Amino acid sequence: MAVSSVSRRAFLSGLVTVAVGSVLAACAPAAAPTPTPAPAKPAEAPKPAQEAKPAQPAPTPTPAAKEAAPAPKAGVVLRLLETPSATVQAINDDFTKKTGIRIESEVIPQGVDPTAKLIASFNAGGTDYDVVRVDVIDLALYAVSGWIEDVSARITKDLIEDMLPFARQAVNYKGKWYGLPKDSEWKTWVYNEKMLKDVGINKPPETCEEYVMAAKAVQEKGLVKYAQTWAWTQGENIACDYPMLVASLGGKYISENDELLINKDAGVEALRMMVDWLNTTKIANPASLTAKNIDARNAQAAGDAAFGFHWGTPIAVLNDPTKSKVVNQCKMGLVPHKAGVASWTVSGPECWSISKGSRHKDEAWEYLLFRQGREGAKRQFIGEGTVFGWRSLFDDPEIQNFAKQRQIDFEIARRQAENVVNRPMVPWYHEYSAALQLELHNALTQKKSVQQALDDVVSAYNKIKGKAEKRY
Amino acid sequence: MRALSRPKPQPLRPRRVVPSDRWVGWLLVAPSLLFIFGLLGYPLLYSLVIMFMDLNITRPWLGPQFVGLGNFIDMAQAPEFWASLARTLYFAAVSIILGTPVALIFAILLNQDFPLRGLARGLMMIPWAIPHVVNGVIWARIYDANYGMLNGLLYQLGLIQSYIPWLTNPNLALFLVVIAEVWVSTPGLTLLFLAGLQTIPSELYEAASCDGAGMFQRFWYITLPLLKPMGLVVLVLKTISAFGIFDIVYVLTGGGPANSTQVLGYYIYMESFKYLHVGYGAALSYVVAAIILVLVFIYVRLLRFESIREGA
Amino acid sequence: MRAHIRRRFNISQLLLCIGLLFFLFYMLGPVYIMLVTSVTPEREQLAVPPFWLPSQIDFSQYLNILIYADRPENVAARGFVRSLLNTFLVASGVTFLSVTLGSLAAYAYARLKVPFRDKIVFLLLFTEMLPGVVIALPLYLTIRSLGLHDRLVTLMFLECSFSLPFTIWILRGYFLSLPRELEDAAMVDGCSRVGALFRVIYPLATPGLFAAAAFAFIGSWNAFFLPLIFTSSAETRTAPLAVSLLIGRFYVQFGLLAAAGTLASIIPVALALLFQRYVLSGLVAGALKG
Repeated sequence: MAVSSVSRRAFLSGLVTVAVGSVLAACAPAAAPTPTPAPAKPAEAPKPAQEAKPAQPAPTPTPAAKEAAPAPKAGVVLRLLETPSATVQAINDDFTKKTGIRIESEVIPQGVDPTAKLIASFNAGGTDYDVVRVDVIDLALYAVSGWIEDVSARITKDLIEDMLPFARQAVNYKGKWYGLPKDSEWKTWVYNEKMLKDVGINKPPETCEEYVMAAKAVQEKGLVKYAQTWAWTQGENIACDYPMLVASLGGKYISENDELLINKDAGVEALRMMVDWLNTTKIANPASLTAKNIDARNAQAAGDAAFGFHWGTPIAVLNDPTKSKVVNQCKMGLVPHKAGVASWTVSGPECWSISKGSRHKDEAWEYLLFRQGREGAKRQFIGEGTVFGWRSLFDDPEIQNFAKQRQIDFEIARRQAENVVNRPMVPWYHEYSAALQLELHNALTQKKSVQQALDDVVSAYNKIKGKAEKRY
Repeated sequence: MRALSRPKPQPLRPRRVVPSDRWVGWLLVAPSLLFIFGLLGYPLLYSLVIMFMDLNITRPWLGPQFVGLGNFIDMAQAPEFWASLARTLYFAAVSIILGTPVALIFAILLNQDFPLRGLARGLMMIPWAIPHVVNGVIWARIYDANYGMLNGLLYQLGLIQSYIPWLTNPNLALFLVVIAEVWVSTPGLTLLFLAGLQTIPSELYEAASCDGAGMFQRFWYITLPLLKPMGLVVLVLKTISAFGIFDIVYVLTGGGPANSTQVLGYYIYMESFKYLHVGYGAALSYVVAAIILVLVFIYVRLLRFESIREGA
Repeated sequence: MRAHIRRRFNISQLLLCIGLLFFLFYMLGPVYIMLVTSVTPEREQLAVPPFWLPSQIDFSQYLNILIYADRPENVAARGFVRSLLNTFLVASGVTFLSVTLGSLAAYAYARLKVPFRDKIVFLLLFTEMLPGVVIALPLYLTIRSLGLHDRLVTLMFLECSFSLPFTIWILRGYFLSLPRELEDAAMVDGCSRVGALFRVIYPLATPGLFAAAAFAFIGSWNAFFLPLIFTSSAETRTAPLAVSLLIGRFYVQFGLLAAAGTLASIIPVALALLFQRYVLSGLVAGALKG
């Protein structure tokens, strides 16, 4: 038999190489030095390689810091689940200097839902993380599940009153308080001033009718193919834009008894408008059906859209010459609305909460105050543009200065911030949102009539609510 | 002159090998079984139990509620389940019909002698080696309605007058996702077929050529039949992956537009992870496994194996 | 006769060329797009029609990941190289374990009369079909309580348990493709079953072993969900997670992502190039004679 002995030897050597590799893996949990950031990792990281003993109640964050800082509370480590940025790093370091408490952040990728990790952690006792970020749509679920700490006793009246209304909503569920506002964003309406001037419009459109006229004018002049690209892909964002439109038409989304009101009046009108813009007047880019937030922003940055509705601080990006082709052309505006109705936008605020299983709740609250109180929020805004949830900060001169430099129109922002709508805060929100997204798409692709689609949303909502109420 | 098919083995083996074969068999099989079920045994049992439960994973102290066949009844009554099942079957069918011949052709190609063949084989692995999230982004860019490469190419070739928003068409979106998925999975399957091709003794081809068989006849009467075992491997792998597809749908379309790309893998993910219906998710997976089992039996019949046991 | 052969030769050459072109276009086209994207300056990323060749080649994204990761704006790219190393170690371990244990089992399922063998094989495949959360939660609780969380070895064992069924399935198919006469002949010559396995089958099985090893390696290389749940710190991060970190909150730098994707695919491709010569033809040549 012609068996090549060379190949056998080489094959075996290949196996050996791989075996050596696996042995190395076994011996190197944290061996080599790494160019990782320094968000204060305790000396022996949560790898109890030395302690193989089971039934350690909290194998991770317990006081184990070898280098105790000469400050109170030395030896406590707080664990967060987030991706720290440079500014946050600096804040964390300052906190450590002040109190000796170390902050350890576990990094989680942006698009990845932390719920899976949180479920695992909470089912294992909740000691993994001390402070968690809770999006407004998740607050109800986390509160009802007993994952986050009720801080009603710690929070002060002064703090409560200084919160912007929509930010306040995001930290409160059924009368109980659960933390402090973290990124308190709302969507900003942006228009390209230069394009509007080119068609003879000198002030931004205020009502919906004016918006449509302006959009048509810009398209007819050939400045853009489609006046606006909306981020209406099947996902959470279209479930954000829709409430904004309902509110802008003066409608109420959900009643006090958690009853969904969208299949009449303003709700129907809003969807009809959306369908219209996409299919009839064609002022909305047909690609909106698969566009994400990033695509909508890119469209405006590339000069292919005259209007945009974006998260965060879009002007900063739109005026960045490395990213944008429309530098200094865009301005913030108030969201167009029905005549006689105020201008509404939608928000996605977050709450910084303490995990119920945390063993350092007092320290965690201290950290919360430091990081997300007025001082911390101010630093984050100036450092990286993270929007804050404190009303008083609008009056802060440093902030106003900074805003002027970055061309954030504070007047607009202040007015807009008073009228911000939130999505329904119910524990079964995600299931409802999926049903809403589906039916909105059904209407937009004209598979169903607007009324039919919305009726179906309401019946889905009621069905989900009925089932869920038994569980929660 | 040797026959072109494998003859059944003649009983030339000494008798004493037969009983020790049993023990050898167990010895060879035991380590992997211990490994797999040692680690996954408990989760498997757990899943077997919770599919009959309504487990509220957010309030585990309440304990799971026994619902018997409730999860399965819900499944049968959920129009979305049937719809996503249909989409998944479509996905599997298109993926297999397009992907298997492509992989086979590439395998035959990479089996021929040509300069830099080794390089070609290595390059073929690239789509497979790229992290999935990057794959998703690349194909999202290719299909992009405003700045995409597909649009750009067709436009520059004069085949379309203006850019088309490909993925917004509910009827087209699923097909396009399949194309992206086939691209990602082709290298692996090509490799499998390539390995299979090595097991075909070259004398068979030589003998056939001497007898006057042309290229196509050699392919049809030698290559295909002898690739059946690997063919079954490929079909089953493709089917299992089609029922588990999630990543690429998530990045390209998010399940839309209007749920037109929501395949079972995506549906199960949403139910288990987003809505936290964990018992329902487990029940769904068992149903999926049953469906795949049925499909495997069909494949075995189609490939005309006497039973799944014999590979030839 | 001569003319007849020449014509057949030309047709097959033609088909070969067409096939290679299709291969280049379909398989490598998107790869080319990725490479070009990684060296295109940001402003040109969204051009209409797209730039097939960038007007200027800009390596800054590669530098950002590899060299300038300490700069504050590149905080997301830190530890990227480390994550590649981690993933390589884990994947190597998974491959080694899967192929050794798996090939033994696959041989038994293919050739020996193990009771219930088909049902066992199918049960193994079934473990692949369960959704993540069903498996992950009980495993997580156990692993936490044993204190084995956030270690590469744990990850390796977990990934191996998912990779073994596929490895077994592939190698079983491969062994079924090998002619039975090979080991029968060896055993007639006095070899034991196991001896035949090691002396005859394994050397001939290099193509199949390579294919199975590739599946195991790539499966581990691309694993996302298991590392997400079972690792927490930067030291144990794996490549897919590291790449995902580059997706910003509001802004995706396509160039950066493409550069990361390119870097992350170098190792598997290099390994493939190195080991592909084990996919030899002619291994079973002469097996049927005599």
